[in-house]
Amino acid sequence: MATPLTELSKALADAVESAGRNVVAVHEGGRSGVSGTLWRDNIVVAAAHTIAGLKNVTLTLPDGSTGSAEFLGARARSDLALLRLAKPFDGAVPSAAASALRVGEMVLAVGRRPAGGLLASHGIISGVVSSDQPQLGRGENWLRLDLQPFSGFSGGPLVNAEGRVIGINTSGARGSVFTIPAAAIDRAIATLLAKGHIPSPYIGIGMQPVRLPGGGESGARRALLVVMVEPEGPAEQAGLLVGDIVTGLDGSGLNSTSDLERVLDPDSVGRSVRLGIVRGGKPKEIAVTIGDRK
Amino acid sequence: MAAGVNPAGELSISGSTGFAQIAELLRAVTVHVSVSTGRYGRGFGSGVVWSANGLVITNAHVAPGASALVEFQNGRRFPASVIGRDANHDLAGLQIRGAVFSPPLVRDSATLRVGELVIAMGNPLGEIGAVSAGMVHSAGNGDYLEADIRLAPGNSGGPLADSEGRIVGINTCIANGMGVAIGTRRIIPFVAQLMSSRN
Repeated sequence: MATPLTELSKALADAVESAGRNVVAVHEGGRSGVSGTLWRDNIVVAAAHTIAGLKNVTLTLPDGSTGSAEFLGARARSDLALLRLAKPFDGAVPSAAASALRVGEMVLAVGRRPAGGLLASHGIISGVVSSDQPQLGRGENWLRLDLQPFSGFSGGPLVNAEGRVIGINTSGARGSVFTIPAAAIDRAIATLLAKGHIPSPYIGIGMQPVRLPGGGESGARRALLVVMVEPEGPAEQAGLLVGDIVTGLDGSGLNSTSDLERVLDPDSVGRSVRLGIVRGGKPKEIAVTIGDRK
Repeated sequence: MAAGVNPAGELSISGSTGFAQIAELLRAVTVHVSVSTGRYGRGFGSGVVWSANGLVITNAHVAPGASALVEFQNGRRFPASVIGRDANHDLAGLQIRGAVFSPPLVRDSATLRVGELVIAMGNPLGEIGAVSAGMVHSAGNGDYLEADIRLAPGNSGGPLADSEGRIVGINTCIANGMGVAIGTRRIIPFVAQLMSSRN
């Protein structure tokens, strides 16, 4: 009896099964394991917060066998960790076209239990988190989901109704579910393969927002007071001092620390930024080269 | 959603009739089970009419005593006696008499795939015959099913069905936000045991 409902049911089960060919269980993550996604070239993607501090993990692979994987690197700010599976694995994830994603689209979260079975829940894309957020790279929009999170879902893929992978899921505040987009994962893997590690861009200062006198009708001008300069960091080498007030970045104003974090995208290491500062009451400009915190 | 003309010449929208048709199938076999709990009033849950001769399957925790009251959604009421119990799997069998009942289609829960659509009917929070729909979350070996579906107290003992309306389990509890059902893989031997001990 083929009704639209039975056809939809079969299509969804097929989508879970198809995406499940790239889903692994990470035994050490979470309370009872978390998920990971075999992305390509033996690289397993997981949610960084679930495996923090681990150098090696045990996996249950899609064929039910056990494997081990070595931690390669993480982009902690986007909760992305990459591991390398010790055994060879063929088959890249079937990625969905990012441009085709729409709010309201039906999606499935897929995971795997350490014992081997697949797990799934369903929901819809409820929104897109703008790539203006400081933790995201340029053009990397996170997705906010209306979907039931389940134990161990982090690191598993978000798939569309055709079983194509949109990204990997992780948890946000108050039980919310987010998806790290495939574009961010592809980029992190490309960087890892090209450079041998995942850069962690930084300039090495601690800052505190302050108000400056002389604001217009809209209120006081805001700027950032330097309260800490990391020894031997890029900012110290550029001559920044504790007590400097940072008022501008590359020629435009600066209101909050996230304005600065935004330029520290994953590809920014080696790039120079111009910081407009006030020191001893006098404006000054200092060029800082973004470093890589190893 | 597919709109079309059926053989009788009426316009039908098959996409929207899917869940409604299954709800109709389940409505005929889903009953309200209530028990007197003495000074605390009445407890209630749901049940599934399993056989033409009046066997009703529910959760053991829904029918803790020796008798219960079974009520169909059309208002027919039957006194029921508890004829068997499997406390380990939270199953109970009730017997009602006085009519010939139409049993549901049953599917072996071990054949379910993760991602399949499922439909629950029951009396959550006293709402008679409420329907919810979701997806198989975890299948295991079919003894227990987990479903990404909205359930509430009062769904206990009611049916979980597949996209064709075949019963795959009895909704039993909610764990970590997921509905947990006892699968037909576990219920079928329980029913066989009740039948053999009755004969």
